[in-house]
Amino acid sequence: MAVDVMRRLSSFRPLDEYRYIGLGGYEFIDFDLVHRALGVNVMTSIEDAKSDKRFIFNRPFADITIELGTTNDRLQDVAIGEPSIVWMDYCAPVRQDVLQDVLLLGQRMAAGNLLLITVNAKPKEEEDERLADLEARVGDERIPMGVTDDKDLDGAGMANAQRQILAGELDAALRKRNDSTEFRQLFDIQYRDTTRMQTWGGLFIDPDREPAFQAADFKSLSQVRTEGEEALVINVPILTAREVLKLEYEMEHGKSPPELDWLKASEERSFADLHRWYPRVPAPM
Amino acid sequence: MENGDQPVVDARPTKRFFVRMLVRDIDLIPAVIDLIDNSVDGAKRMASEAGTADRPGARKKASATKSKPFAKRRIKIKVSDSELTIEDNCGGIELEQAVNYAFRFGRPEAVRPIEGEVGQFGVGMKRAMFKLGGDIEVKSVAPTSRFEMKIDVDEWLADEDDWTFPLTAEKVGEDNPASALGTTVHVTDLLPSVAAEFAEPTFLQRLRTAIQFSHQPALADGLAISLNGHAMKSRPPMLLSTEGLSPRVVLDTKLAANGDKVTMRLYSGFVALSDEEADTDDPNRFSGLSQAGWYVICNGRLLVFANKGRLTGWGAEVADYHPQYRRFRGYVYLNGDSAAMPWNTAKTAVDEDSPIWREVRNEMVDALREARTVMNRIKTEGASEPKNGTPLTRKLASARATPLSELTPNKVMVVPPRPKKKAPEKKTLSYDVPMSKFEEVAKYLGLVQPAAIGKRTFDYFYSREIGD
Repeated sequence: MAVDVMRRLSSFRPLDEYRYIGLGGYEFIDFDLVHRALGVNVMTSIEDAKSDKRFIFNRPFADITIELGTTNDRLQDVAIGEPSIVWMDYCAPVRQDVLQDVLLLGQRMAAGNLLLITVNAKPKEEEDERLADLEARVGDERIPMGVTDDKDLDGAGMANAQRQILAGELDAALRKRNDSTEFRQLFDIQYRDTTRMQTWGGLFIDPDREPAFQAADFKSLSQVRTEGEEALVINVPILTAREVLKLEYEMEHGKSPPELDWLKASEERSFADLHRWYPRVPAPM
Repeated sequence: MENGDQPVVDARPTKRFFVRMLVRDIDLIPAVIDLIDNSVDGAKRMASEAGTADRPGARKKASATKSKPFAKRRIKIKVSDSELTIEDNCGGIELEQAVNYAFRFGRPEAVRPIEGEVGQFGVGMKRAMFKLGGDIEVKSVAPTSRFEMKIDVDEWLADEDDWTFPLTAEKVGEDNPASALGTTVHVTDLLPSVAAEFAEPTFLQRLRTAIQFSHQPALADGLAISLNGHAMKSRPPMLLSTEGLSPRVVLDTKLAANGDKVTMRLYSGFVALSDEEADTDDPNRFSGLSQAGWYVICNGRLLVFANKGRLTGWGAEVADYHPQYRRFRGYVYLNGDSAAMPWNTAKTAVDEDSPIWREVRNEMVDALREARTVMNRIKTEGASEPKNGTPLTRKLASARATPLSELTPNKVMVVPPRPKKKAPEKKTLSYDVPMSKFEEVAKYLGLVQPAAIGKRTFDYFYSREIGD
């Protein structure tokens, strides 16, 4: 989904001039995807580990530089002021170390650069400790005005609050800059992986790049959510390979809704929304 | 030569200079808080006139039914990029008060301040209004009068000779009903920098935190304050307490400096750390705004917030603040004569030369020394008995966050005694060996863990050379 948005950065400069910066882990899934789909070659992965041996072994291509250390320690050494696509894929929820990274990114990232932030959005299980937990993580001055009670952080509440906190922090960083760089939100996605997660992000832009921004026409992409729009909530239906093939086949032939009795209508709708990004299923022999 | 021939300097300030000096040292949030203070003072006056409270904000006995002296009083604040409005039903300003005192710069000597009031220098409201914008409107309905005042600041500044603010007064002597009494302050034509800040969601959040903290006692007493429709909540400070572990709580001590005009309450203790904070020494994991430190509240106005510096003894009488002290909270409430309070004219900082402050600070430093010692014990005892804990760390884990008003007085902190030191039963060895030799031994023993290999070789030596 993100890759379709990234592709439109070609409106600003050739894609192979961008650097991809992420937190690859051993799998480097996003690195692989960005490299194959966009032709981005220069990549940096920040890894909080003692040794880079396993990362070097697992990296899908040699152009991935491994920077060892926490993001707080290493992000400042990475060229985020150059043309770059930065995807901070944290496992943690929004907390002080994440916000420190956001401040740095907001102060340094150049216009034309894309930023995505993925964080855990699961509210604390103890229902009466949710607000206190969020306050402990970010400080009470960062709690959005609408959040006054534990129940404001139920369900999608935590994700919505964290989005506002991230946006507020990035905004605070931009106001410290002496240039006219702004941030335009493009991503606001909530989904369940093994746990509830959210991805928020967008593009840094200045007046010179406004025509290129218009030309990129991000709004025409169905997965894009600009500021003020409701988050895109993805319920990834768990389907077998055979089911995916059947649904895809039906959709190609213009039938809707597809006929699988055991799927709920909502699951079929989610699939219809998502099928373009569904993992490719190997065709049966 | 006659005196009239000598040149003289006209040293009267220009209005622009005066206003610039007036507003330069106050930040936006304290300015808005200043305006709210006026409304809160109004609510206090109404409550004391009605006699519903012997002392608003005073410590209540746990058994007493909760009286809410400000139950029907409300303050509505609206902040946007085009205006600031503060509307209250807190009694209003009488015309006479407006003419002689409220809108004059500085409080005339003859006007006696009201006990427990925040206002003292007679600058807060005017300073705040000039700080914000170019069009100021104040409307007020008091029991026996009502008035309206409009100031176009640019126009007012243009005429150097006229220092008056014209009022439109109506029906002096009428008997206005209690429900209609109140004041509305409306500031428009905001200065560009003010408008920009007011438009920021994070500004509102910071303002909310400041209001909730500064006016916590009034909120607890039932005053309803709303900010852009959001109700402000009373979030009383709490300290950990349980049988055998309780904070230092010193109540209603008359301070000798300035002749007993100010009383002090002091609370010094600890809070629980969040799970995440307790598990780490990584300062990046600590919450955004560190709340540890000293708080000083004068007549309900927060003067010192989470101070961890020399002002309150850190890095002077006790060691520099360090994250191992992040459980500490100290609260000092001073109540009484506003003129004796240890604050500067903006009421934003401590006047360190004030005799009251010196007296208060001695008490704070005493409490801090004691708290420091206990926190050092928590750290060393926690490290020495990580599993079972010591009497102190176990009490700390089981203690409950308790509102200050429910704590019992203790001249010193109550803590369990230090555990008796046992002679250590074990000793840890640590040494380096060449990698190649280590690997040979490891291979020979079929072991991987250096600790296990060390133990085996030590046991081998012991049984050979010393015997079991």
